[in-house]
Amino acid sequence: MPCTIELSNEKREAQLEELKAAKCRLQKEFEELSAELSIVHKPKDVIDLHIQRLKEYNELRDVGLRLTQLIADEKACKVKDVFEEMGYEVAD
Amino acid sequence: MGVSTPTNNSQHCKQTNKKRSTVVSPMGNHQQLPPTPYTLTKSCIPRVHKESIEERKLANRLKLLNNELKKQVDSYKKTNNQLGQAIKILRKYDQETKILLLIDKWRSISQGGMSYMLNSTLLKIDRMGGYEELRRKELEAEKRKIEYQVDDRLQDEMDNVLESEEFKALPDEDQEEYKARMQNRIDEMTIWKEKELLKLDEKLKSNSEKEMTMRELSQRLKVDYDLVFAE
Repeated sequence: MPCTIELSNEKREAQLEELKAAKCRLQKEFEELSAELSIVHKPKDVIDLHIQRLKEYNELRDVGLRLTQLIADEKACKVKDVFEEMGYEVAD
Repeated sequence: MGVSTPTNNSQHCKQTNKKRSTVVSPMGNHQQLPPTPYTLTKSCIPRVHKESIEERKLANRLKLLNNELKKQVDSYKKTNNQLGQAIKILRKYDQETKILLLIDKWRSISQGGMSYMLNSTLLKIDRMGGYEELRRKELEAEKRKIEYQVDDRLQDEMDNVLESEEFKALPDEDQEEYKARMQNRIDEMTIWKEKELLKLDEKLKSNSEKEMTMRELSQRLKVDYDLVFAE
């Protein structure tokens, strides 16, 4: 039992050293990219903001498509025509 | 005679030796038995006990160290994972910029769509006599709905029961109890109906809006107003 745990500890210590080294590399790369892009957010904030934006985009797109469908039905024309009238492409 | 005498002496000596050895052996065994088992017992039990205690302490220390190492490993994994994801986003930050542009596009489309729908709705409202007329009609419809929900079915049901042969066959006491229970239900429904109708009347009187608003239209169309008109 102690031998097994000791072996596990040695493996974990080696793993820990690897992870520390990896963190240094990643941290450096993140800081370089942030500097290039003039971004001051922390890594987690970058991720959270990205997710929030994707969510907002998806929700707005759903609303936009639904409204243009309502308008198309009311006008008895195609959704594509409604978009053209607004000056937008349907794509994206 | 002389020869006979030595022979007798030898035999006597032998006999004496035998007796002595017999006496000595039991004494030897007796002396050896007590210490041997006692010594073994002492040397074995304490040793095993100490070793097991030390082993347990060592095992516990190793377990604690193992847990601590695991926590640190998990923490670094989480941090490195976040850094990795953030780096992916930053490497393709033009995509992030594109998302922002798409958000602007679809917000404009949604706002334009809502604007069109509001104009369209306002025209329809005018054609049916104005906003107040619209609200009045809607509230009247809700009243009819409540009236229908609380029609006379309950009273008819009660009357049917009261006129049935089975009911008349019941003891007077049971009949009175049933009547009271049914009447109670009817009374409760009547009170509820009157309260709801009163609410609708108050709603019509206190209506402060003179025209359909964008926020109200958003609510009717099930559109998130704050999402579309965030800016």
